[in-house]
Amino acid sequence: MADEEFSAFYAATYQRLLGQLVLLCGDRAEAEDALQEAFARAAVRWRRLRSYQAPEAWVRRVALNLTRMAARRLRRRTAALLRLGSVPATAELSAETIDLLVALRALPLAQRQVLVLHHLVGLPVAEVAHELGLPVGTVKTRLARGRRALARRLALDPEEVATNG
Amino acid sequence: MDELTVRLQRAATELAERAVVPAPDDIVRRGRGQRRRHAAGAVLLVMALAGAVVVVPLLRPWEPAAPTGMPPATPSPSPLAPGHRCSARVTTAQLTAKNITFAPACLAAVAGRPFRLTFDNKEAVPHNVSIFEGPDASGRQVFTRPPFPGPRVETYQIPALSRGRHFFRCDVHPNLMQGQLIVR
Repeated sequence: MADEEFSAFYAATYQRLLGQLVLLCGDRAEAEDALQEAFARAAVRWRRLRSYQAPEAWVRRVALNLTRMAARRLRRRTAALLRLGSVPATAELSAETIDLLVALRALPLAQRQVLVLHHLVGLPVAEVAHELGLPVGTVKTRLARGRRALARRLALDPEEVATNG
Repeated sequence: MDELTVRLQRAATELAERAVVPAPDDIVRRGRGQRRRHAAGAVLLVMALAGAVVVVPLLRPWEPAAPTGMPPATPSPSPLAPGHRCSARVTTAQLTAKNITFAPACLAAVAGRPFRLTFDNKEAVPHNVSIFEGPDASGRQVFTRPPFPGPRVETYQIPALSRGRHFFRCDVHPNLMQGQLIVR
């Protein structure tokens, strides 16, 4: 049913993109849903997408937009869950990853986005700005604030975190 | 590479390794199903629009209704009651049309007593008022007047209505301009 080339692309990129998205949106189920939806859209447009230089970037961008929309829709529900002290379903993950997820979830989505795209995906600041449709200065500010906040929460050396990247 | 990048990469790798990857066929099916639903929705929308274009002019519901049996009006000196909360005992009501919307969307009247309705069309788009018995336009039409463009104010004498819910609308914009008239 699925085009072989699409299947290969999907197999090669799904897990990597999921890792990025979970950190970005802080919720595994939500990340999975957004990513699968993005891949479903890619599947029906594959003839066009295959000629793109980076179809992976297209999928990430669609998934990112979907998580942003979902975040808006679910903000109230999430706030209620946090008030009730709900723990994310990450029991099988290492303590270090859970700590990072919890620390990331405490940051605003805008800061998580720039941190993940810049530090994890490895996009330069200008490309992060392009991807999110933001001015470069805004991306730099969010990066600096996000790094500071994360360093504080994870008890990293703020000097090292702030001077690198 | 700074410590934060290392932590992020380690976490992302762990999350990726533990991911359950759905079969590619399931993903393709999801995409195709969605495309079919979108196509069906578009077809329904086109059909609904085409239906409205054909049916509304045929019905010409703004043709003047026969004024037979209309009791004489009893104008009231009382100030306009806005009817926002649909409070009853209104003998004079005001309705405004602006931005293809009625304000207020709820009016109230006293059963068995005619009343005056001041209709203020604030825009150049033609609007009118038609009143029906019951909660929607499927009931008997008890009042209607031809549409007119604004800015202009017309005062209508509404005949005595029976107790219960009534529905009013602009026949030119039946889906956008409608409201409830509560007769108590």
